[in-house]
Formats: sequence, C-alpha cells, structure tokens
Amino acid sequence: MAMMRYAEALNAALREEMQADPSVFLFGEDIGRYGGVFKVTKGLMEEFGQTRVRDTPISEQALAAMAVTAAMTGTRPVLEIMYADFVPLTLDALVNQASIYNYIWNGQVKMPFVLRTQGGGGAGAGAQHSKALDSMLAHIPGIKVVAPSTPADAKGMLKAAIRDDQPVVFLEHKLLYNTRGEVPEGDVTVPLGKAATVRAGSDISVFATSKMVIEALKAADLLAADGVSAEIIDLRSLRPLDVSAIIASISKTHHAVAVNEGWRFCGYAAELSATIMDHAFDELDAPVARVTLPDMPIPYSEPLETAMLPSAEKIRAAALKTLK
Amino acid sequence: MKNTPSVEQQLEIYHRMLLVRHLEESLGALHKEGRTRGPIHRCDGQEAVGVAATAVLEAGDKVATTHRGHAVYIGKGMAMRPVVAEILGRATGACGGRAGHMLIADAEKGVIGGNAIVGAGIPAAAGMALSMQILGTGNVAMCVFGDGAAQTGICHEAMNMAGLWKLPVVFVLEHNQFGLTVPSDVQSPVENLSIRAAGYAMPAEIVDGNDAVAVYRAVSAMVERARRGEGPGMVECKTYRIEGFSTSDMGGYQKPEDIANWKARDPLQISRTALLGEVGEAQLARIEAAAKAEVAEAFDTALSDPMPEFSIDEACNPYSEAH
Amino acid sequence: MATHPISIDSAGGEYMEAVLVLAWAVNSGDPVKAGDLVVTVETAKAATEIEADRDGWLAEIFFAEGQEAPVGAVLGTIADEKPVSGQATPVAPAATPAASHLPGPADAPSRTNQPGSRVIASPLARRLAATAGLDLSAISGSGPKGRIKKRDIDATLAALEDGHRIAVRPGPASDGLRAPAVSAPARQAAPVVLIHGFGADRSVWRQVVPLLEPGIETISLDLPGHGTEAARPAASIEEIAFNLSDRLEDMGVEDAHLVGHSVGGAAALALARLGRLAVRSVTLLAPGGLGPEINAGFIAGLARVTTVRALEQWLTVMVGDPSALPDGYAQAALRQIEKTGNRSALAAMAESLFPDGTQGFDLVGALAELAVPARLVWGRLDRVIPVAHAARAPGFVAVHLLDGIGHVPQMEAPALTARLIAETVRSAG
Repeated sequence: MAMMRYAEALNAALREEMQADPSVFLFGEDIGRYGGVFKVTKGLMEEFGQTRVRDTPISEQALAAMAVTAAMTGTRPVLEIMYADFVPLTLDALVNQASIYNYIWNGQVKMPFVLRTQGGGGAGAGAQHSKALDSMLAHIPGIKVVAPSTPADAKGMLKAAIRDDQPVVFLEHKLLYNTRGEVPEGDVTVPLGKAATVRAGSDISVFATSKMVIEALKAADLLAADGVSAEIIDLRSLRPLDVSAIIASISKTHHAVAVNEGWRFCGYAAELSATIMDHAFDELDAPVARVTLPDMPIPYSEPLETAMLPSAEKIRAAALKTLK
Repeated sequence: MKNTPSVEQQLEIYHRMLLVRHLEESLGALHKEGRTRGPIHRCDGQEAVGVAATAVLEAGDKVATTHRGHAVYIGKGMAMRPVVAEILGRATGACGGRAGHMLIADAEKGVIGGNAIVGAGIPAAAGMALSMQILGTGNVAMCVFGDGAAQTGICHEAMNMAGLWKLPVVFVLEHNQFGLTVPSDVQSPVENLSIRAAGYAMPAEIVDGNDAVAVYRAVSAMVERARRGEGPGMVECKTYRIEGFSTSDMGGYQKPEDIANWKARDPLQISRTALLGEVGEAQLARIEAAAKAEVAEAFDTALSDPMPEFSIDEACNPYSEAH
Repeated sequence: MATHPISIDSAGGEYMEAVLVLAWAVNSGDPVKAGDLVVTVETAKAATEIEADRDGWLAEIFFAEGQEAPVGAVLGTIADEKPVSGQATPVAPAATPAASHLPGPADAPSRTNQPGSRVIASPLARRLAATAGLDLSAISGSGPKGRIKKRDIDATLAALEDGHRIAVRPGPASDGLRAPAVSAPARQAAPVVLIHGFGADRSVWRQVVPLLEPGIETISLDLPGHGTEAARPAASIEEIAFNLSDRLEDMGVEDAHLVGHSVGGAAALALARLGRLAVRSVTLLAPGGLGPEINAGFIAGLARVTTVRALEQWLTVMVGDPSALPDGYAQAALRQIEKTGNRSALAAMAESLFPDGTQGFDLVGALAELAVPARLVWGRLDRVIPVAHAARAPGFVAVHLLDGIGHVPQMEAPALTARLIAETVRSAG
C-alpha cells in the first residue's frame, strides 16, 4: 500500500496502462505539456511522447467522435474533457455514435475508449464549471459510467475502464483530486459495476458516488450521534449498477437515502429510488429520500453555492425524516 | 495521365456503379409497392463519387460515409446480398437487420460505416486516421461527406485536427447541391467549399463528380500523400442529387432543367462511353447483364430471407447482473 | 390473574407451519392438574397430546376445535386462580383480537385507522403484517400521517408475546438428547456428539439424526448459553470446551466422535485439544476457528432478533437457498429463543466470542494436531463464515465443498451431511 492523492492514483493508472499496452493513448486539452489542469496527466508526455499524449485544440465535439472511431480501429483512447460541463458538447459522439455501434453493427466492433472528466461543485467555479451531469450520462445504453470516491478505487477502476471493451465515462470530482488514501501497489484493478459498503449500519442505507460518499460518511458520523446507524454504500459505478448490493442493504435497513450531486428531476437519485421499488418494494418501511441539487443553475457566490449543494447535514436531515 | 485507373479497374468501377444503380432502382420500385421500411436515400447519378473514390483504397484502409452511402458500401467491396438483406431488415443482413440502410458497416471490409448524423463521418474518419497514425499501420482513412455536412461545426474541428496532426485521411466532398431541400447557395457563401481546405493546410482539388476516372485520379493523389505521412487532402466532386432527399421527399424544389441536364451527364453513360473504345460493346453488355442479374438475385434471395428475432442486448444492461 | 400459555413448538420434531386443533379435553373454566391431557392437535405425522404443565384452571381457548394454529402459537392459557365465570370464551384466531386493543407506542404520533378507511402502511409493514396474520386496520401507525411502519408491527407482535409470556420448564432433567437412551456403563460403541452453532440449539440436528445409520448413537448437546443451558453462558471457546467436557464426563462418555457446526465446530476442536476425551473422529460443518472473518452483522442480528420476520431475514443469510428452510422454521426457532429468554446473555456471549466482529479464537493448530479421521464440510454459498477458510485445513482432512449450500449443511443438505458424518465415523474403525 502507498499513501497517494486521488490525482496521483489516476496518474499511476494511466502510466501503468500505457506502459503495458502501446495501443493506449491520451488526448485532451492541456494534458500534455502542462500535465492537465488538475495535474492528472503530469509527466506522461515526457515519458510517452507527443504521439501518445496529445494536447488538442478546444474541439470537444470532434475529439469525442474521434475517440469513438479510434477505439473501433485498434487503439484504446483515453480522452480528457476538462469539465463535465463540457460533456454536452460531446453528446453526439456518446448518444448517437458510441452507444449504438456494438449493438447496431451486430458485434462487429469493440469500442474501448475512456472519457475522463470531472464534475461537481464547491469550488466557486460558477454555473458552467460546477455541474455533475452524471445522471444524463448514465441514461445512455451501451456506455458505462463510473465515479470512484477513493484514490484506491480511482486507480483500480481507471485501469479496469481502460481495459474494458465498452465505452466508459470516468467521472472524477475537482474536490477529490487532493484527497489522500491508501492505494494498493501494482497491477490491481477494481471491477466496474460493484458497489462497496464503506460503512456498515443497520437503520438506514445511504447510496452515493464520488464526493457524495465523503458527505455520506460525514453524515453517518452525525447520525451516529443521533443514535442512528447508517450504512453507506459507495455505488462506485452508476452504470452498470450493482442492484444486488442495493437490495441487500435495503433488506437490512428498510430505509434509504439516495444522494446525487446532479439535478433532482429525472436524475440519478430518482433512478435509484425507482430501482429500489422495482426490486425491493416490500422491504421499504418508508419512501426513499433523495438528496440532490435543487433544479436550478449553480450560482457563484459562496453562500449561494453552498446552500445548493448536497451536504452531510442535508443527508442527515433526510435520513432522520425518513426514519420518522 | 498520372493515377489513371487501368482498363480493368475502370471496368470494375463501371460494374460496381451498375450494381449501385440497379440497387437504387430496385429499391425505388419496392418502395412504390410499399415493400420497404423507413426512408431510403438513393444516390442515383452520384455513383461515380462513392465507387471511384473507394476504388483507390486498399483492403486495410477504412471509410466512413453518410446516410446516402450505398455507392461506398459496394465500392469498398461489400457483397450485394448482405447489403440488400440489411436494407430489407433481414436476419441475413450485413448487421442482422439492426442497422438499416443508413448505418451499414462491414468492419472486415473497412466500411465503418454509414452515419445518419450529418457531419459525423468527418471526425469518424479523422479518428480512424488518428488510430492508424498511432499504430503506424500505413493505412488511410477516407470520409465521403456532403455539402450539407461541410457546414457543420464538427467538420471544422475535425479537419483542423487532421491538418494539425497530418492525419492520414482523405476528405471526399460529394457536392450534390442540396442539404435536404435547401440548395447549397442558401447554405454557404462560397460555391467551391474546398477552398476552405487551405485553412487546414490541406491541398484540395475540384473534379467532375460524374466522371469516375477524374474522381479516381484526384482521390488517388490525395491517398498517396496521406499514406506517405504528408497529411490529409480534400477532393470536391461536383455532382447532382437526381432522386430527391429520400423516398419521403415530395419534390418540387429542384429545377426540371437542372435534373435533365445532369441526367444527360449520367456517370454510367460517361464511363460507358469512355470504355466502349477500349473493350467493345459485347464485353460491356456482358458486364451490364451480369450486374443486373446479380442485383436481381440478391433481392430474390433477401426477400425470402428470415426476419431477425428480438433479444435484449446484455451489453446494454444497466445492472451489473441480470435483473 | 396470572395465566400461563399452552403452546406447541416444533410439533414433535417436525418443522411445520401449522397444527390442527383436534379436541380440547377440558372446558374453559375447568380445573387441570399438571400432566393432565389438555388438548390434542394433529401434526404432520400423528395426533399429539399436550398436557398441562401445572395445576390451575383452563382460562382461555384461542384456537377452537377444527382450527389451524401456527406452530408456536399460544393455543390457550392456564390460570393460577379460578377464572370469573363467563370471562373465558373461545375466540377466533389469536392475533387479531389481541392486536385490536393494543395501544400504539405512547411517544409517537399515532392514529388508529378507522374501519373502512384506507390503511396507510409501508410496503414492509404490509408484508410483515400479512406474514404474521395481523389486521392492519387494528394497528396504530406511528409514522408520518399515521403510516404503519415495521416498528408498529414489531410492537404489536411484542405486545402479543408479552401477553402470553411462556414459562416452560425444561423437560425431564436431561443434559442432552440421547437416542437411544442407553445407560453409560452399558454402551458399546463411542457415541457421536453433535455440537450446534451460535444462536441455535441441539434441535438443529433433528433432520440429520434420523438419517444416521441405526447403529450410530448420538448425543446432541446444547452449548453453554443456549437451549437448556441458557442460564450458563460461557465467555470463551475454552470455557465452552470445559463445560462440554464436564457434561460428557458426567454422562459417562469417555470416547466420542465429534460433530460440530460453526462455533460448535470450534468447540469440537477445542474439546479435542483439551485432551480429556478420547476423540475418535471429527466432522466439522462450516466451523469457526479457521480464520478471523465472521459475519458480525449476522451474529449480532441473531443475538438481538425479536420478530419472526427479522429472524427470517437472518436465516436467509444463513442458507444458500432460503426456500430450503422448512416452512415455519423461523417461527419455531424464534419461539425457542423466546422460551430461552436470555437474549442479553447471548449478546454478551457473542461480544466475548467475537470481539470487534472477529473470531476471537484460532483452532487451526488444534485441527492440525488431530490424529484421527477428520472431515470438513462447507457450503460454497456460506455468508456467515467464508468458505475460503476451508483452504486452511491440513492435508489429512477430507474437505467437501457443497454447491448451492450456505452456512448450515445439516439443514440444507441433511442426507448428505448424515452420510458424511457416518462415513467419518466408519472410517475411524
């Protein structure tokens, strides 16, 4: 085990996969000489050269579309889209291209590309640089969407994503890059589609991904002081979703809070709620609570933004209300 | 003249153009009988572009095309029967009936593939070229795209990167004068769209898109450059869309005299005339009869082929286990 | 007026969902003497006569003749004093009338549903009520807008239980179930001593014992803190071993084949290591002691379980295929736990045996020291103790990994378990 920052863990994953497989290449804005706006690709251009680590023009739409066909023709591209807020520029590549070909072309092609991006608020980046948008991405069939919360998972899941023959959207969070954690040394992958119980509890299940897991863990401490034993499930993967883990937890606690940093309406928390009803309705002792962003743009000023974002305190309040 | 196709190559191009023409006409007839499904985008009169441009390519080269891609499918070497069966939605189709006529692909033949999002083929070909460059395969990617696609934003992004990184890609602009019903001069301030290539440091050439030999020569030069690592090039092929946007097109916006003029310059006729002096009437007649028979047989077989059966695609399962 | 319940549990060794009340031998209000026949019920196999366990008066009859009663249900009560005339009348199914006059939890906003109005209840509460045969319209909901939640069902069931608290004396002063009953000195072959796991009791062997060959004599022991030994918990595996050893010695057992399940497996190894008993063979079913991991949630849950539904859920964790459990098993098992009535002692025992959710004992060495035939049987779907622990068995131990089986092979695959026990015994010569 080594103590690493989340960004360093990602960097290690990229380096190891590039060393192991010459068909892996990286491209994106500012990722080469500068090493990435969040320093995830630091040092990689020096190590692997400008052919395999490319600074690109600001052309998200074409970059994503090129990743799709590059992946279909023998390489394993890893595209960095600097902010999740820019992912809508790539949506044709995801919705109309990447998501369809495995099926429409009857299995003739594989599409092993990873679109790395980071989303989420709390950094004062304003309405166009703070969104999560994971719900929108998880809506698309044929594309995996994962959002690890720890450095160990960040590394293990990025390695797994690069080796996956399906497109994977890999969601990072700007406020997680500097978090530290133990990361297993060497070639350790973490499977996509497996949730982790990061804190066991018996009274209520809290489901979250990415930075919301950190908030949920804080909420569990608050709830413990309230006499409530909260179980925190880090879903890690939004799609495919580990529904067995959800059912198992609900069957124990009978109460659930679905946490998502995206918008509420048609959002991932709503999907979790519906999934729980689909598969474990008779285990529910109360309606599933949602803790999400309100359905409005994210403002800039600190008190305004803070008031918007899902937090440990909001998760606690939702849990207590659910347990009434 | 440099890069002129051999007589044998010209005969094969002529043969494939004939196949495509029979395909389009047969589909038109079936559509009138109500036996086709969904819109069909015919390329009658434009066969020389898709067939002659792809005739330049090698087996390992790859091509992306449009929703009007029949000439490219056949030109790049796909057999007639799986194409027809796919268009008719059969289990024996090139994609098992999942793709339909706009999205046909045959990865082994390098057809990757039809694309019905106008403009999307341009970065698709650039992405394939990027892959080829990184892997050092020595292959070339081609995009056959229309004057409508030339107006998209993604066209600019993709061509800029292709020029910037000297990607081995050739952009074949099939300028058929219309984006759906809107004529090109209502969509662009310039008549010759390939003048934009200069902005991407790409060479460009304008040719008669109904002259298969002219298309072949120009594309050949660009493919050779690209294969040498000298970067992308563009060929603007001037042609005309005879049969409307699709089978759902009500018509009425194309000038009858334009249609008549372009029909008089039918690419099949231009090729036939050029070949007549070389090989004689008898051989051409043989090729023509063979092409007609091949298409007829493909339709006969495909029409009696089984329809596909639906099943859920597990690769799309939103859950990590079957639920 | 103190009353005492008349009940039937486990229906004579058969796990059944319900029994049929055939005949009451006494009318309500009539006096009974301990040992008198009170009521005859039909079980799966035969008519079973239930005798009064005390002197008194038959006070209430909850299940009339011809009615089905769930296993474990209170059929009626015996009062210490003569009931006031007319007070006791036969009533229809036990649960509903009892539930109808239960108050809701005092500290919660509650609303009793009016007859005819729509009952608001959580999906879970509906399911639990249906399982327990409770009428939701008679229950007050403590949730928002009077919603009935699981806790309301639990409270209702608990109140029902309290109303009929059972004080059943242990049967004839026996220390273990012994079949056939043979006096110690006359025994020829070494008996098979069966040791159950945490939270269970010796009845867990009921399916396996009849399947063993007739020549095999068995002794099923209750662990300290469990079953008939409820009053004497133990804090460590060594203490358990001493306790079992003492009791076997008292019974005149000097040599034995040991069969242990889960913690009972660990106890068997500890007993062997103790050396006071000549161990002839050892058969271990998903034993403890071969690794640190154990499903702490399961142990804790089992120790504090108070409702049939909750127990059912833990039992689901216990087995590979929940449908393999006999119908009504959870109810019977809970009844057993209720009778034992030492939940806090059990919880304390769990805490000392499994500190911090870890197996607090290591018996890999004890297993390695065995010089007799040893067999390890483990379900591949075990969710209580990882089947991976089987890999720690030394080479001389026969290891059987069972597909589709969870933590309790003796219940999930009794025939196979019986066969493997018999083969171990035979292999000892």
